[in-house]
Order: sequence, then structure tokens, then C-alpha cells
Amino acid sequence: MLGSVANAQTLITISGTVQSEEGNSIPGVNLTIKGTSSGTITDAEGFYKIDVSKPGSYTIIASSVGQITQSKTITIKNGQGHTVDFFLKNDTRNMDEVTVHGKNETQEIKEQAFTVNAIETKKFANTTADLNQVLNKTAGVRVREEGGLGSDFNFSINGLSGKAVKFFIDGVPLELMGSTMSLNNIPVNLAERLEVYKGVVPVSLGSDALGGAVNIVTNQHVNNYLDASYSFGSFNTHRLALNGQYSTANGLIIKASAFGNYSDNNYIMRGMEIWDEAQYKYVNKDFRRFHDQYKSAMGQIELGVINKKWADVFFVGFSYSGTEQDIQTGTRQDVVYGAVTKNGHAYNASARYRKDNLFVKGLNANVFTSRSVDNYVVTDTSSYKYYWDGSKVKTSLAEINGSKAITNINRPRTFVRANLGYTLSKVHSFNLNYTFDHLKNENYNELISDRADIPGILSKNIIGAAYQQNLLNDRLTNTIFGKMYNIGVQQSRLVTASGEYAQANDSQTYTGYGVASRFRILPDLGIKASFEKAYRLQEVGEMFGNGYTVIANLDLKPESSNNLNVGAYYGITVDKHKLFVEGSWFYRNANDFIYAVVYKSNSSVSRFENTSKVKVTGLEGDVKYNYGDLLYFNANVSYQNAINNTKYPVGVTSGTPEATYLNKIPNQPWLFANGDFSIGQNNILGKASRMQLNLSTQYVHWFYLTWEAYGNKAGKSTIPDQYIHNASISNSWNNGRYNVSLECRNFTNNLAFDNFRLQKPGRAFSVKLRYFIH
Amino acid sequence: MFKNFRRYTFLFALALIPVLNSCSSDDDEEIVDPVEETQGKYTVWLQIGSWPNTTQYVLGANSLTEGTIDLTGHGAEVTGKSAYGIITKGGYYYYYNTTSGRFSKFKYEKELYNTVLEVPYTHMADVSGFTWINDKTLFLIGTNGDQDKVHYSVVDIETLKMTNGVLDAPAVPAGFNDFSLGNIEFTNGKVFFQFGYTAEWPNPWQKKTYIGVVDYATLKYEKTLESTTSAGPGTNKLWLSSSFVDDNGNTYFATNVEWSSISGRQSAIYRIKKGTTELDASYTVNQSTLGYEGVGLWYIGGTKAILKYIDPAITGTTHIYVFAVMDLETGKITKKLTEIPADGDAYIQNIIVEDGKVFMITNAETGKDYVYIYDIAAQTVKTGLEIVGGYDWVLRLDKMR
Repeated sequence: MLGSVANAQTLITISGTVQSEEGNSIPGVNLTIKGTSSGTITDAEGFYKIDVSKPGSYTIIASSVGQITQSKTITIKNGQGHTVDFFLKNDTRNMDEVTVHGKNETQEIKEQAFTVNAIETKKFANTTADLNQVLNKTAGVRVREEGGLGSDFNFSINGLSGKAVKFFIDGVPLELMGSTMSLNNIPVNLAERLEVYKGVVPVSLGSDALGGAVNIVTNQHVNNYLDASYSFGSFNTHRLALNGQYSTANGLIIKASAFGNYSDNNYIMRGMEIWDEAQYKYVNKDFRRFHDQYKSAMGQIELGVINKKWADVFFVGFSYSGTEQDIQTGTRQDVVYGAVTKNGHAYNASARYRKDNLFVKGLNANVFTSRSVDNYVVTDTSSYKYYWDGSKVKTSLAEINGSKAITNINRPRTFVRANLGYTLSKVHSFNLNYTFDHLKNENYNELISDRADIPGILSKNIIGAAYQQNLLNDRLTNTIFGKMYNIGVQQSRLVTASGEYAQANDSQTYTGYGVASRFRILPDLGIKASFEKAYRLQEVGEMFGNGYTVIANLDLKPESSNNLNVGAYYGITVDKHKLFVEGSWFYRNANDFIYAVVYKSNSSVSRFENTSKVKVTGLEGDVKYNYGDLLYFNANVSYQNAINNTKYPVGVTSGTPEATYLNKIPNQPWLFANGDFSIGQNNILGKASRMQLNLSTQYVHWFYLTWEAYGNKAGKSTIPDQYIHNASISNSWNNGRYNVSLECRNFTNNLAFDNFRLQKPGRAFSVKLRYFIH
Repeated sequence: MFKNFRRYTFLFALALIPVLNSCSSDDDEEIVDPVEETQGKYTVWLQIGSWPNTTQYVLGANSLTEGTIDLTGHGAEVTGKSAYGIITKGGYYYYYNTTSGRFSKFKYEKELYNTVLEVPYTHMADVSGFTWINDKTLFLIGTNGDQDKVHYSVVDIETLKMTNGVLDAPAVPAGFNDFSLGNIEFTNGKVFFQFGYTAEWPNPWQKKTYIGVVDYATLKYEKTLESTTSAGPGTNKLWLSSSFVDDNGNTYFATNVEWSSISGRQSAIYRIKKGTTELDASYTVNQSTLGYEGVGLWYIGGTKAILKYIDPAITGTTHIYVFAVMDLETGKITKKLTEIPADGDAYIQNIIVEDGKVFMITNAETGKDYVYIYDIAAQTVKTGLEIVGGYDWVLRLDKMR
């Protein structure tokens, strides 16, 4: 499929067939030439062809799932074609057992000193899950969605959420790809692995992540591959994902990924209120959502080379992403919209460079730079009021606010990340990371103005330095790090608290630090502890306001938190049984949360203040069990107790403590659990096939919408227990090349909402077809 | 088929880490029955918590002169149902929910804030002002969505049936974009509504105050009164009062120019004498005569009113507001109410008047929260009902019956 392009004039062809020991030809075998990026895959007849550009000695490696890898070395003289055939022996151990005995990368990451969820996405590759759905199944993570595909969500790690959590893709901020790229529209097939760092974040993710970070790791392998999938399902949902890599004979590598999502999201809303004129009251009925169509697409292409003298990796890339979205409701389901839309586009150009052993052995350099333009537009110009039955009445009002608006938000951004790693010896290693992030924020209503009156400019310089020591034969690992955050903010005009206009810029510097340690008591038993004093820096709008409805607060401090994790893990393998258990306790003491405070109740003027302090403690546990490749079981439970630690209101330091001081934070899930079970068998529907059944369950304990202690219990609002059960069955043929899966989400059709009365989809079916060649 | 699934998963989840069982004891909490208690004579609206976990409550009290009230386990949440900028009469609350497009009638009783009746309503962007025509008829004023027209609704508060229309007020002049509405009073068959024109930020308001005169019987816009002393519409009585009709039938309109962006801004109080439809040209009460910039005004009987104002010596660079008694005839402050702590917010309905006493709430930065009682005849201030518990905001005080 992705064979090399032959140029008969100058190239020399190596070809041959690959057969099993029984003499059957094997398709899909990976052939690579050692020490180069050249490679190919056998076709349906087991035939392959690779071109090389000059005579010499080459080692060809043939590898395939289920066979023992073999290599052959040949010497090619000028002008000759060569035939190299392989007879691969069957690997009697199955794949999972191979990974059981060696530790895979995911396992290695879990055994790091940092508290991290590492999720291999391979297991979800045949499902229709997006990254949020995968992450939402893991301990300590809670994603609260407002609706169906593409809806707004709130992502929390160990009880801290919103701006406290930062998202990365291959170590650089996901935001660079534009605001339309988000965890709820990226298909699982685009990621190879997901890492969730809780509370303590390595310096290489150079950012002000107060509560944690999610890093999406894409396929970095050198082999050619193509992963293409399409799914369709309930609510007219279609999802397409393409991801592949192709190397030309002269060493140029093309990497491409793309996805597209479409959904009408027209799921049924149960018991919606609608006016009945005859009865002269509101009555409850079920209605389909009618204005929630969601479309998003992304395309990225990277061109580059690897293993050159001057670069181990050098790529330049371009990406585009866009969304078109209808907005159905406000933050409550009785606020119905019928014409509001949100559309966005983003362009990004980037370059990345990596060179290992730069100047001296052990010094590795990694540089990434990008320029992006992100734009989105919220259009609210209808003069109708819509109701759940889709009917509308003419009004003089727009839907979100009374007055019509086409709100434009433009965010040009320049980003540079440079990382230097130096391994002095097996014991000592160092890492230095620098990021520069320059962001302009323009916001205006195009019905009134064609430009932003007061664009805000934010620049961040973040330097992180880490020292890692591996002692006692790698049994003890300690990482000590420091981070320096410099923030520069600039706005041409602001309104001070006294109501005067001024021009402003400001620069502030803060220092964070941390330590992470792991001690391996036994090869598979370890304990770990980590701490970080973390920050979330102020944004321009928070410091300077918008000059109109939000006034400036130049005394605003960044959010800060002391984060502590203590954990342990244990793995045991007996024959085909493999068990891995992890548990951790965490503590977050977060101060100076920044929120807009309505400065004067009805003048619509607010100001950002360091309003609140929260202390979170919690426990989480995770158990995984495999029996060979037959059974897999995973369960986790997370408990978190978030307490309001705000003793006095803003600007007050004595007197009567606030009523809510030391009360449990309302409207926050505090107990949730996930269970995942799968069973699979090879060769049921033909040779080299595998059938897999998966069941999963998610439980979120009910919680109060508001402060528990106050008000009469009979009138208090709650977010009730949530149980969502999903099932899927998939079959793959030809060693995973062709895959078909059927999936049913929320098969008991339980009513579920993460946010007060904002219903999520009920039962939904989907089919996914996937072609994967590597 | 899956009836038991929920239970199994729940049991499973709890069994997995038994230590967590203790944490789920809330499960056993039964929803308790509403407390058997009739509606309190008064209500106090309170807000607790830091943003984004702010919640507002309404809590009943039978006396404002003594005792304590406490939200713990008592009162009803109003957040999500209505804001505290609300209309009240006869033990009911009336509220236009602009986001859901409904006009609602609520009653707080037995510690529950219940919807008595609600109807679809979208006639105006928001209620910018209201006045009572009689005990059963409410007159609402507001703009259209683009804020360039003045809309009204006449509401039958029993049925919530409406008569809607548009008032033929002068068009927004060039250079300005919006109508700004606020004070409105009904007297002697006429509806008087105060308004101004505003421009897009950062341009200031137009430096003029207008009062439109509407004949209630015909709902015809009759004439416009204007003054250049001050500017703008005054305030919206949902949140803060600055207009009233006194015992003699004279109508007073004050302005609030704090956020007008006008250089050399000046607040003023206007009078329309009983039976006339003209500004009383002889009545010149303003920031200069009062000595301070006013933000709110409540009538307390006779010739007296309570002025909420900005005293730069106290305010500094923050925004806190103090109270004084003023004489409407002389236009002078007669007594500064220094016993009442400065209020942390201008837009609070601080005052009810009953039996020769003024009951006031305020939002002191420190110290305990009380209902303060100003005895009009004795001119003394003392503390009454204590609001226990360190609530961030005391939002409004209402008389239910």
C-alpha cells in the first residue's frame, strides 16, 4: 500500500516474499532497513519491495505480530537487484505475554516518580471514543460535559479544574492548534498514549499548570503506517479519522493526520417544560434537540527528515482546524436557543528540531516553534425566542443577551519551546526547558466595531530546570526542579477602580519548585512521593478587564497551590495472570483563585479578584488484571474532599469568618468510580482474526448544587447519581488490519447530567470501520 | 433486565475500597419534610460563598427589632430561580427571567420558594423599571433588544396576563446608541419615566436627564421633560430606589451618575409638583446643595428621605456608600447616619419603612450583620435583628405582610 516510490534510474530494488513456517504467505509484515527510515509492508501475497539509493551492506528486518522477528544482511553491488525471502517462525507466546514480561512505555511512565495516569490508547482504537471519554475513565479525572458531541466541558484533575489544567500535544500546548481542537473532538486514533500529570508537572511541559496537565502523545515511530477509520451512529453522528506516515526513498518523511466530526446531537431531552395555552401552564414533554448540529475538522501535515547528520528529527508542519456549531441551550436546559452559532478557524505553522548528542555525548536538544492564528465567532442575531418543540415567537431580542451581537475573538500567537537534556552519567541527568508564549487577544462585536478597541497582549517566559538522580541501581529516583515564571501584560487602555482611564503594562515574576521521588522496594513494588508549588498566571483580561464591563485590578496575584502526592504501586505476574495495583493520596492547598466578582450588583460592572482558597484531599485506587490476552479488567475509584478555605471575603482580614469557611465545596463530584471489562478470543471469524467484547461502567455519586449546610433541605437542588453503562463488540481480521466494531453507549438509557439539569445523551449506537496498516 | 445493574455497580464501587464507605454516609440522609411554618412577616435575602459557588437565599423573619436569624438548615435557595433584583407586593415576588423568557410569580412560604404561576414573556430586554398602577396592576418598562425603543407591559398580577406596547419616546439622537431607563412613578393618571441616552464605551453618556410623560388611560406618550443639570435615568427599583411620590403627591426623581463617564459629573434631584407635568423649576437640589454625590434615595415620610451617597473621605478608591437623612424641602442633609456601617455595594434595596421606623440593611466589611433601626421621630439608630453567620452579602429586605 505504502510501498516506496521507485525511481528505476538511480535506485536499487530489494524485493522478496515473506512466508510462515507452514509456507503461507504473510501480508502486513513490516520490513525495515536497519539504521534508516526506509521500510515497507508486505502486500496481500506476502510480497515486498524496498528501494535503496546506493550499493552497500544492508540489514533487513522482518517483523510481524505473531511471528518471531528475523533479520538478514546482504551486500549489494552496483546496479544489481536483490531478492531476499523470509520464512518467519510462529511466535508461540502471544503478544500480551510479550509485553507482560518486558515493561512497555506506559508501564515505565506509571513507575515514574510523578503521579501520572498513562493510558495506552491502542485498546480503545476500535471504539468511537474521543480523548475525553478515554480520560474520563481514569482515576482522579472527571470530565463534566454539557451535552453531546462537541459540547463545552470542564476537565478536573484531583478536584482542580478550569484554567488549572493545561493540555499539551507532544509536549506543546494544544491551544496552539486553535480553540477548535479540544479533547472532546480529537478521535482516539490520533493519539498513541495519553499522560495525565496530577498536581506535579515535569519541567518539560513548560507551563503554569496549577492542578495538572494532560499530554497527548502521538505516534512517533519511524515506520510507515496508515490508520483510517470511519464511524456512524445515533443522532446522525459521523466521525472520520486518518493518521499516517510515509517515507520516500530519499528519506523525506510525510506525516499527516486529519479528522472530521459531524453530529446533529438531536437526542431526546426528557421532561422539558413547554407552555400549554389551553391549560394556561407549563407542562412537561420529551423533545428532540433541534439546534445542536456540530461539525469539526482538522488537518495537519508535517514534512521532514530523520537521522541526518545535522538533525535527528526535523519537521515543518501546517495545520488547519475549524468548527461550526449550533448552540442549543444556555447553562440551564430551560434556556433554549434556536439560532445561536459558534464558528471557529485556526491555522498553525510549526517547526521542530531534535538533535541528540549535540556537541557532546548525552546532550540532547529539542526545539519547537510555532505561529498560529485562532479566530472564532459567536453569532447571536436572531429576533426570535425558541421553545423546546422548535416553535418560535418574534421578539425584539437576541437570544443570549438582549442586544444582537456577532462576537469575534482573534488570538494570534507565537510560541517557542527549547529543551536541553544532559545525561552526565547513569546517575545524574539534567533538563532545562524554556518556553516563550506571546498571545494577543482581540475581542469585538462586529455589529458595532470592526476591530478590538483594547487588544490585550500577554507574554510568558517560563524557565524550568530539573536535576534527576538515579541511585541504588535505579531503585531510587529523585527529581528536583525549579520553575521561573515571568509574565508580561499589556493593554492600551484600562479603567481603574476609581473609574479613570490609563494605559498599562506590567511585568511580574514568580518562582515555583518541586521534588519527586520513587523508591522501588521490589522490581514491581514501588512507593513514590512528589510535591510542587505551582502557579496559574493571570491573564490580560483578568488584570486589565475589558474596559467596559470588567474593570482593572492591577493588584491581582496569580493562583498558586501547594500540591502533594504520595502513592504506591505493585505488580505481580504469575503465568498468564497479571495484576497491577496503584493507590495514591493527594493534597492540594490552592490559594487566590481568580474569579470575576460582580463589583456592583446591577451596574454590570465586575472585577477579577483573588477570591477564594480551596483545600482538597483525596484518595484514588486503580486495579488492573489481565489473563493472557483473554481477559482484561480494570477498576478505579476516586474520592476527593474539597473544602472551602476562604476565611474572609476579598479585602477583609478580620471579623466574622465567612459562613462557608471550611464547608465542602458544592457542585463538585467527590466520589466516582469506573469499571472496564473485556474478553477476547483469536481466530473465531477466520485466521488472524480477533473478536473482543467490552463492557464498561461509570458511576458518579450524587452531590449538592449549592452549599450543603444552608437553606431548608427540602428545597435544595442536587445532581443525582449517575450510572452510565457502555458495551461494544469488535472483530479484527488480518492481524488487526481490518476492524469492525459495534458499540452501544449508555445502553440502559439512564438519565444523566454532569451539570444541573443539562441532560447528556441517552442510549446511542454506533458502528466503526477501521483500516490499520503498519 | 438492567434494573439491578445500578445496585450492582454501586455495591461494586463501594466494595472496591471499603475505606470509602464512610464517605458516602450522606446517602442515608433522607430529604426532610418542609418545616411547618407560615410565611414570615419579613424576608431577608442573603448571599454566601465565593464565586463561582455563590448562592443566594431568602429567609423569613417575624420581627426586625430583636432576635437572630440563621441560614443553617433554613431558608430557600433562590439562585437559578430569580435574581435579587425583584418586584414584591402582598407577600409575592414577581420576576422576569430574561434567559428562559418567562415572567414568574413566586411565593416564599414554609421555607420554600415556590413558583405560583409563570407565563412566556419576551416583550422587553429586561425590566428597567416598574411602578404600581394599583394593587393588582403592575406597569413595567424596558427597552427592545437593540435598546433603541421603549417598551411597556401592563401586568395583571393575578393572572399574569399582559398588555404590551411601545412608547413613542423621542428617537435616540445621533452620536448615541441606546436608551437608558430607570426611575418610573405613577401618579395622578400619568406615568413618569426617567431616561437618558448612552453611547458605546468609552464615550460618556449624554449629559441630560429626560422624563417622559405617559397618559395611563390611553397609553399615549404625551411629552418629554428635560434637564441638563445631571444625566441619565436614575436607578432601577428592582435593585435600588431613587424616585418616589411623597405624601403630598409630589414626585421626586434623583439621578445616579457614578458610572456615566461624564467629566464633572453631578447628581441631582428633580421634583414634579402634584397635578403638574412639568419639572419644578424652583426646585434646585443637587450635588452642590447636598455636598455629596447621591446614588440612592428612599422616602421615609413627611419631608424626609434617606440618601445613599458617596463620601470621598470614606470611600477612598474603593466603592462604599454611606447613608444620611435629608430634608426634601431644604435639599440639605439633616443627619448623617454614621452608626450604620458603609455599604459595600450601591445597588442594594436597603430600606423598608414601617410604623415611624426605618429598617435598614447594609454590607459592612467587618463586624456582625444587623438590621439597623432608625427612629424617625427620635432621630436615633439602634441595632435590631441579628443576621448570624458571616454572610457575604445582605441583598435585600422586604415586607411580606
